Amino acid sequence: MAAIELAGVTKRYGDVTALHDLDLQVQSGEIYGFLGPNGAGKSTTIDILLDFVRPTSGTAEVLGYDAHEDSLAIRQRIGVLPEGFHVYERLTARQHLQFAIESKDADDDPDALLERVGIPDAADRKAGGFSKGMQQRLALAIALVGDPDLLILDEPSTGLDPNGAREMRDIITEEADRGATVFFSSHILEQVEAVCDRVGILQAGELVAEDTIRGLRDAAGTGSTLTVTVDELTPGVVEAVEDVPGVTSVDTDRDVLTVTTEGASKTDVLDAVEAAGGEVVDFATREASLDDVFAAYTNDRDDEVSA
Amino acid sequence: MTWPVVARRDLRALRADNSLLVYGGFFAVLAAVLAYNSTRGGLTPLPATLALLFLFAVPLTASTLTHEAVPSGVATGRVRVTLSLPHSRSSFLAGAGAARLSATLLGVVAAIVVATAVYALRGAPVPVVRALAVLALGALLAAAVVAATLALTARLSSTTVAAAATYGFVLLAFFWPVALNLAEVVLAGWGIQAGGVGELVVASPVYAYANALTVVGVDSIATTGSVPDGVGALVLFAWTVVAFALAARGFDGVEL
Repeated sequence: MAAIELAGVTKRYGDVTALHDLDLQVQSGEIYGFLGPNGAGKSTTIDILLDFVRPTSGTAEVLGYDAHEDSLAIRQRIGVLPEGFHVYERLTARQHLQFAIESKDADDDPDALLERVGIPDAADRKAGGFSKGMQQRLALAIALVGDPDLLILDEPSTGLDPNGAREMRDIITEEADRGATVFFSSHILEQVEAVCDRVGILQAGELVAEDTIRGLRDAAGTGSTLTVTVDELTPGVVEAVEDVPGVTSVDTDRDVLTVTTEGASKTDVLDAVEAAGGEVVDFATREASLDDVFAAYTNDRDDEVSA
Repeated sequence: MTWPVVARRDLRALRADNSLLVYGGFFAVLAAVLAYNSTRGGLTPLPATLALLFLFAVPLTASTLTHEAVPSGVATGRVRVTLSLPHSRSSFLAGAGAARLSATLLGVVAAIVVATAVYALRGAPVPVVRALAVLALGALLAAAVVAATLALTARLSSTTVAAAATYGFVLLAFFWPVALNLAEVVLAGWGIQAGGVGELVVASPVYAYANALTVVGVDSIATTGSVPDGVGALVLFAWTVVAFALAARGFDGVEL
């Protein structure tokens, strides 16, 4: 069953089309990373799911409910960390959580929630004095109230230090292990890479790619990079490597070969070096990062658009 | 409806930023001064003293407390926290309005307690039932002004524009007879004889309140025309219901 389903969703603000005929499905129980550059339409998509804005056309369903008609039923079962939220400066963290707990008619312990998000000592401090990171943690604690079936997190790492970001990832993983679906947008790719089952890349209001990270790598053709150090680099060695099927480029620097491959195994490259008379001193492989994949999709798209 | 949860949260926030203390103190001090002056020399009855205080203080307090509730929430994103939880937009509005109404009523109650104490200490009569009737009508006036302010500001995200709209409305409510007379003159200039302009005075929440007070024997402000005594109470009720409905409709269409 789909936890989130968008079908043909278009959203226009005057002359600007924020989302264009967007189709998206997030399956129950998965962690879905929603990527895209600033202004791609990620927050607009989430705002539609939360009924903060309404689509110009198309339908949006969350947990099988219509996002507009059944918005209350949806919000009873989801936890949200919205983008651009603001705390009540004069209320304490505990009072914020009590409000969320009363709102959902839940029985969570505010202290336990604050402990879980890493700010146990902030319970009785006014939220106006919190750093951005602490406010973000408080918002996450609010989102966790009532053990939601679906967590929607809009840029959850904003304002968090590396430790905070890691703790956020841990909580996301724990929630998924509990059986919750997690849908989160981010432009911090290592966050997404670390936890997501599937990733969608949004660009200029359109979903330009959607797959597992492995699948995206393969489809983007970003391949992997093999760095080979040889005792003596000869033109014959370079030629032999270039002839290996699947090798897309070969760069040289003194005795180091940098080989970009798509599908070619590293042993084929090493065998070619040795067959050409080279002696391999050292080698290392680097798989394309999600950064590379993301750049491949978004830059390609930019090129298409500008063309 | 989950508006009581929102109202409790907003009341906590109003208490935390000392609004309750400030406005309660404002009413109490004004009531003490007015009551003291009213019991010197020629005695002004307690209900009339309270009515005069509420006539000015209630619209100003209710509108001041309410005018930023929606625009500030939208501009800062606080409304997103509330509406990401299971609250409808109308519950958000009702809760925000109820909290501001409660804060205003706290001031009204403080005024009555202080004024009654001053009257009692100075040996002046304290007609409890009539004082409570003035309290009830003051509450109705507060509800009407809160609802009207919500209706004016429900689609706004600028607190400056909200303040201008709100205080413009309050000013118009006080100078409503002047506005009507001006309209009558302008229409006459175009050869149109407007009938029933006098009766329209009671359409202003302030003059509706004054009209309603006549039922409890307080006739501090003359409402011209031939509007029966007590109609003002119905007008205030209508303001409350219609303005809140308009506010809910307006806020429902806002993209947050």
